[in-house]
Parts: sequence; C-alpha cells; structure tokens
Amino acid sequence: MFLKIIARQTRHNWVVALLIFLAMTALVSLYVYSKNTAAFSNRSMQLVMKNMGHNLLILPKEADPQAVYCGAEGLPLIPEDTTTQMSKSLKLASRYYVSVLQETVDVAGHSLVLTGIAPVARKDESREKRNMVLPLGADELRLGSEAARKLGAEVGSSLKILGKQFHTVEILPPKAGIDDCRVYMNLATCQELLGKEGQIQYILAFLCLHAGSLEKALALQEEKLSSDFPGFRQIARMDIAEGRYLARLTTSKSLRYLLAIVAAATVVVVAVTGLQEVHDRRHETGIMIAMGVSQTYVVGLYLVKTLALALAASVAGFLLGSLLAVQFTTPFLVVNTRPVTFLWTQFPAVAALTCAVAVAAELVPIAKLLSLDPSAILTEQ
Amino acid sequence: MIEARNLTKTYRSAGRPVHALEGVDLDVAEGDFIVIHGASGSGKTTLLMALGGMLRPTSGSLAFRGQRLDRFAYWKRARYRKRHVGFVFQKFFLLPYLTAYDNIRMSLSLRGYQGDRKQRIVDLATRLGMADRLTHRPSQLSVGEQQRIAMARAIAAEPEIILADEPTGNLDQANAKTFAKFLTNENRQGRTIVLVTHDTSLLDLGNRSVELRSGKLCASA
Repeated sequence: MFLKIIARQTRHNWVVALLIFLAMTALVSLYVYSKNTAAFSNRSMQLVMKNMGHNLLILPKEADPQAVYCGAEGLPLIPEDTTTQMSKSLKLASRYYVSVLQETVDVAGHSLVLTGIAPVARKDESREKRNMVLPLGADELRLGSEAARKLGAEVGSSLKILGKQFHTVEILPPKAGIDDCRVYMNLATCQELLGKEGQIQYILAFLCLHAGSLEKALALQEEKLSSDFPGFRQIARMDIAEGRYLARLTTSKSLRYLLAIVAAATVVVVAVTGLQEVHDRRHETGIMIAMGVSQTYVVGLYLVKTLALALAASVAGFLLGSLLAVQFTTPFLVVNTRPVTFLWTQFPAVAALTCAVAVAAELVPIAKLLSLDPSAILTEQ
Repeated sequence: MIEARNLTKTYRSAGRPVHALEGVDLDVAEGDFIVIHGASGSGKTTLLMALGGMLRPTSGSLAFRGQRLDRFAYWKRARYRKRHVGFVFQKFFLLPYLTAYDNIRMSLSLRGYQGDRKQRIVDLATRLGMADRLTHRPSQLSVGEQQRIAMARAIAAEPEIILADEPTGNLDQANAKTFAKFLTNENRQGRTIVLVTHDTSLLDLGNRSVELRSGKLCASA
C-alpha cells in the first residue's frame, strides 16, 4: 500500500513530480556533461602541453645548460643507468624520463645535432602517457623540421649518417629552437656511432604538478633530487609547467563553481516545491495520523517519492549529459588516447550525488511536515 | 472505557490564552453512544480530539481502560488510535488519488487488519449501498457517497470507538438520516460512539447527550 500511495499520488500530482524531476535532471546532466568534457579537455590540454616538450631538464651540477640549448660541445658524461635509478625513485615527482646523448655532427654537409634518445618509464606510469616520446628502432630517425628541410628528407626517405643507413619515420613540427635542428635516433645506436657506450649527458623529464601550487611542487622536487641524487640539478621550463597547471584549473576546477550554483538552485526548487506539497497534502497527512500511522511512515511517503524521482533523474541526466558531451565536443576535442564517450563507471557516483541533493532539499519540507498539528488540520473550517 | 477528569485545554491566540476546555469530567462506557453538542467554538472538537489522543490536554487526566492516555508518548498515542479508534470528519478527507476501494483498503493496511481485506471491503460497501461505486475516485462520488466511504474507512478495521466530528454537517437531510441510521446500527453491534454536532435533531440518536458551553460541560441527559 505504501508504494501504491506514492505511485498514485505522484501520478495525481504529476506537475510537481515533473518539476522536481526536471530540476534534478538538469543538475545531473550538467554535472555529467562538465565532468565528462572537463576530463577530456583536461587530457587534451595535457597532451598539447606535453607536445611542447618536457618541462624538466636534469643534468650534472657541473654541466653548462647552454651547451644543451645550443647543441654545443663540452657536456660531461654520466652513466646511462642514472635514468633507471631515477625512474625507480618514486619519491621524485618527475616521470616520463628520457635519457639523452647529443653531439653536433656534419650530415651531408650540414651541421646538425645528433641526439640519441631512450624513454625510461616509471612503473606507475599509465600506458597512454608513456607515448610522450616514442622510442626509436636501431635504424630509425626522427627529424626536427629544419634538419629535414636541410637534408631534403621526407617520412620514409633513407639517410646515411656517420656511415650507417637509416630511414626517416617522423618529421617533427617546427618549434623555432635548437630542437628543429636535431636528428633523433635510438640511444644505443647513437652511443655506438659516437663511441660512448653506456653513457648519456642529461635527462629530460616531466614534472606532474599535484602539490597544490607550482612553487610547492618544484621546491619539493628540488629537495628530493638533492637528497637522493646530490650530483644533479634541475631546470624547469616554467611556461610549460604553468600552462599545464592552468589547463587543469580552467578545465576542472572552475566548472565546480558553476555546478555548485546549479546544485543550490536545484535544492531551492525541490525544497520550495516540497514545502508547497506538504501544505497541499496536509489533510492527507492529518487523516493518516488520525488512523495511527507513525511519523516515520508519513515522512517515508515524501522521502521515497523524492528519492525515486532522484534516481530517475540521475538515469535521465546521465544519458542526456553524456550524449551532449559526445555530440558537442567530439568534433573539436580530439584525444586519441581517450575518446569522449559514456563514462558508465561514473553512474553510481552520479546516482548517489543526486540522492544526496534530493535528501538535502527535502530536509526543510520534512521539518515542516513534522511540525504540523494534525488536530488543527482536521478541524480546519 | 474512557475517563476524563478535570480536563482543560488552553491555546494561545495572538499572545492571549484561549480556554477551549475547562474542567471537563466525562465517562465513556463500552457500548455508549454519546452526543456532544454545543455552539461553534464551545470546545466540542477539542474534546473529541483529546479523546482520540490527537492532542494532549493542558491539565487534568484522561484514561483509557485505566491507562493514562494524556501521559502517552506520541508513538503510544498513535498505537492507541491505530488499535482502538476510528475517526469520521465533516470534510471526509478521502485521498483524492485513490479509488473508494483503495481509500478503505488503506485504512485496513495501515491498521494491519488480519482478515480477508477484500471481503471486508465488499461487505462494508454492500451494507452502505456502495458496492457498485468502489472503483470510483472521491471526485466522482456525491457528497453523501463520500461520507459513506469515509465511514467505511473509519470502521473497516473494526475499531472499538468511533469518534465523529460533525459527520452530517455537509449532508442533505436524506443522507444525514441514512448516516444516523448506520451509526445507530454500529452502536447496537457494540461499538462505542462519540458524536460531536451542533445539530440538535441528532441529540436523540445516542443513549446520552452532553452539552458544552465555552469549554465547560453544562448538561448531561
């Protein structure tokens, strides 16, 4: 009978039920839409930032970073396994390490920076992020844009460097810097060609900024590097780091304020509607109490109805929000590693959140319900 | 069955005390049919609500079979109403979204009636001449029919006491007469009835009538 009363009452007063349902559906769909698009636009911005390059240069203290920037001679050599040791030290916030050995050489009459690279993954890195710098095969080349222009190379074309035959697998977009003049190759091959087996000069890394602020994250990394690897220092590319940090702020955090406003509006709509309903159904409440039903039963009639509407709204809002995210963002938000789609795993959290909002909104009407004087209601003239 | 001693009920209205009941003594025996009459505002309904455990008196004592009803907690008073009391009101208060059948069934369900509920509803409706109106909603019933359904709802779970507040107030003469006859029959079957009315033509209905004036019991016949 309890559920029958709820069902019949909802059907009888369908306008109120529809209003509550729509208000909660609007909230849920906005939440799902913003959560969905924020996750993907955040990922998209991360990749844009990563394509700009690593934001951390780790090199021996005595090394002159100018030599790195200019591709000049004179960088001291360090053992290649230094990178492996760093990747094993999970205390460091840096990751996506790349061991680098470079030397300016003459290739077909052009002075270019031969750069041997070998990505070294941390064990806690996700697969999708490991592709920041893809490893190269023993006879593969990746050319900076200027190097490709000077050599007249295209993807697939063959080149002979220091007597060894290579084929070009990728030509990088221009960056207006020394990287445009680099000829990237497999680190082991580069070491062999330059006669520097097992040795590198510096390490590139990416610092993830989860410490609350840029300065804090950098200070923490600096402190751990000097304690665990005292012979090394780090130089951060602040523009990339800041871009990454701001991307996170704009795509994820700012949406929360908008969401809070909509949630507050929904609570007000549900609460006001609930108050009106308590008033409209006061005779029903009075007669039930006269029949001897408990307050819990009467409160349950309201609460279960609202929770049922909240659950229905969470399903509708989830589908609508996901659909809008897919329809509106897929054309411009292209993230190869993680396409915009229905995030079904989020549904339980969405449903729980909707129910929590519904219960919060019903607190005032329930307080009003409990304060009703049934004897006064039933003798109203 | 019910004993009211020196019962008072005082409300506050616009900051001033209003004495709805003042020193009321009333005994309701099992099988009684008591008619409480008086002018509007004399405290009849307040007394009825107190007898039904719907409000606490300000002072005095109210006992049901020796147990102090006025001292019962909220849930205990609810249990008292659930087990022993059926209310009938002037405005019926049928649930508009339920059929006549479901309105009666709700009472049986809420009161935990153990017998064959469907049979009980059909029997009652037949006695009240409403067997063919059970699938109708209150809005599809006449005023007299609505009152009969409200009556059926009140007695469906076989409460020992029926408390009726101006039950014929909205009825025409013919319907009022039918209703009065039904109440008399219920009383003859042993049900205790307390009827509140300002209609003096109903005074002879009960085995006893009392008059309330400004919250005070003035006469008993």
